[in-house]
Amino acid sequence: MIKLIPQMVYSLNIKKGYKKIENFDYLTENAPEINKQLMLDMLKKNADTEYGKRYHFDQITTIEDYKKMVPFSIYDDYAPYIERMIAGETDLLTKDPIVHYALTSGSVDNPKKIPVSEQTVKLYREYATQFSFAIIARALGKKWKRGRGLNLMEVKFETLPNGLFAGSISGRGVYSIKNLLFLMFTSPKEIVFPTEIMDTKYAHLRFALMDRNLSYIVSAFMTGISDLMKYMETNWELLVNDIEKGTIDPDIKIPDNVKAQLLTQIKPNPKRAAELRKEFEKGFETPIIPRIWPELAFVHAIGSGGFSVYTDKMRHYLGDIPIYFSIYAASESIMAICNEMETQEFVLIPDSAFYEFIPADQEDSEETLTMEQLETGKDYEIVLTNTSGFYRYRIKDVVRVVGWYKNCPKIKFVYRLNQMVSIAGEKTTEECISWAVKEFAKATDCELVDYSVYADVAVSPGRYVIFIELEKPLPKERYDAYRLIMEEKLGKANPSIGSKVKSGVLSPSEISFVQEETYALYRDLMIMRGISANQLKPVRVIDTLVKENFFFALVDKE
Amino acid sequence: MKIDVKQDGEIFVVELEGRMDTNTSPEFQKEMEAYYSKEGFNMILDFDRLDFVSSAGLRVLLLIQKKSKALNGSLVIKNVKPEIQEVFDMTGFSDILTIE
Repeated sequence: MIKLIPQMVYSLNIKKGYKKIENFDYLTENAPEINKQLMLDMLKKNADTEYGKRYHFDQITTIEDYKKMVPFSIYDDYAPYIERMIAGETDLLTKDPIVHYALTSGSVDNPKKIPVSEQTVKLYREYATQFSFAIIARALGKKWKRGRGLNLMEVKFETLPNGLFAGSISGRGVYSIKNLLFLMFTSPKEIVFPTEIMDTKYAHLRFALMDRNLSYIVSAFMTGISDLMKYMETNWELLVNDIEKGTIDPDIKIPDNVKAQLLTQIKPNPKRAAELRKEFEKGFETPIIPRIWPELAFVHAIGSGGFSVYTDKMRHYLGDIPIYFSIYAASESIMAICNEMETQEFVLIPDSAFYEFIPADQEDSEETLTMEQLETGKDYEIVLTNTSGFYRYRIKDVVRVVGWYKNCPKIKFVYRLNQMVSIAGEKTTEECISWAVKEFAKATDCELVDYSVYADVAVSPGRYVIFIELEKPLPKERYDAYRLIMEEKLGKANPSIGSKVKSGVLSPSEISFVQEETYALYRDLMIMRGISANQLKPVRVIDTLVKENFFFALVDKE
Repeated sequence: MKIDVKQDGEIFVVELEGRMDTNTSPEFQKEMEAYYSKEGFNMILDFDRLDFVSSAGLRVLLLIQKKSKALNGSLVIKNVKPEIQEVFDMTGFSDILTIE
């Protein structure tokens, strides 16, 4: 019975997902028309809002009208409306009821509050849950036993003056299936909805490790799963002892009332503890996950692009277990989705938002293209009209068209416009840095923990400084050789850097190796300052004074 | 790193000597657990003879600070050398920790 309930819940979601796949095939076959119609429908519906009246939505009947009459927008254009919405006013941006405000990870002091409509939540639920599960079920067949999963997305909300919750969009997704959560996942509600600071890594693992039949692991980002595995590697003895005795070690920080609740759901399990101990004692040289969770069929997390260093680490724990790379999304909208396991290419979702595109080499252009005008291999900035009241919104993401699914572009994220480094017009993207650092690691046979780039303009001419944390430090006496290797790799990743260094427009690049655990410390600090772990993205560009001071202070100088 | 714990009434005074780095931080954390796990604990870390704190050491300090908040306790760091103070200032720890 215990196994049957999750199976029924998943089967129901998968059944709905198969219908969604069928519908997706129709949507993608007719993607340009569907997408344009979505835009016209949204304008018609919202013509009577304050924003709609201001830009005469009622007079717009074509894309050309829309482009002519409605300007590009950024968050600051909506901020005054959002403040009024939070104070209780309605019909300002959209007629759709707003059910949530997504706090973005952008700024610690003043995170953006992105309105999220019921329709947007529905789209997230249908695609990120039902569609995804159906794709996975189709790919894995009976290999996925549809048992419970380990969910690392926690729900931490604050309540706004209008009574609505504000928190991460992934948390809102979990909240929307709150009644099913405990049939689908191993972690009890006290862990998924934490009300106080607690050692959640321990808590998630404590329950997941008890379940030999764990079916999968899901997280918003791969960083969360990778950190959890590292924690397991360090603390497995403590966890196994507790599983054996049915206890929670007194040194683990969990509030007493929560601990009491959790202990009611725990019994001593010496058999499972012995099984785990036997596998952990063999070490972590060979993939641990299939040894401790023999039924684990997949991992579901955003792990491409800037997260790939963490995905590489996860392969070591996973062995042959496949990854579903999930969605390409932001607080503003779910925009694209993987329609196969293991692929890192995302198909645009035609009924989720209206998309316009600015060619990446024409950043200042006011002209936009629609999806049928895109070319494979080219990069474009996405301009979004979403289902929550943002119109022609410059989300600042640049994507590359990597192919087509029916008549709909397949994309991959390339970089964020505000994360591009350019000292002398060379425009270096996250993708370039990632490639160069990984090639450096291959050439020097070292294992990467994480990395960032800093544009050092305090020297003249300016230079690139690559911050790297390694699992094991490289010998210091070969520093000059390493610097030259990095210089060569950067020059290959972005030939403009190479030629500018040669011609003296840029100074030679530098490498700064940071102390062990520096990136983990940065994440700890961000979480302490209130950023949800669900939203923590790797630091790819050191672009603020806070980051600059932090990473320079922790350079390994010894 | 040498760790010397003295009890002064309700307060645990921990004198540290040497380096708090990747090699010594796990041991430091383990030794401190007994003190920072108690409700309302009061801990003073005396850095007078501590020469270096690495990222790994900062993570342990952050952990104790979090525990002090969660358990209504207190953590005070005293006699910080200028080079460590600079690291605290640059990493933002000066705003998080109570340094005297």
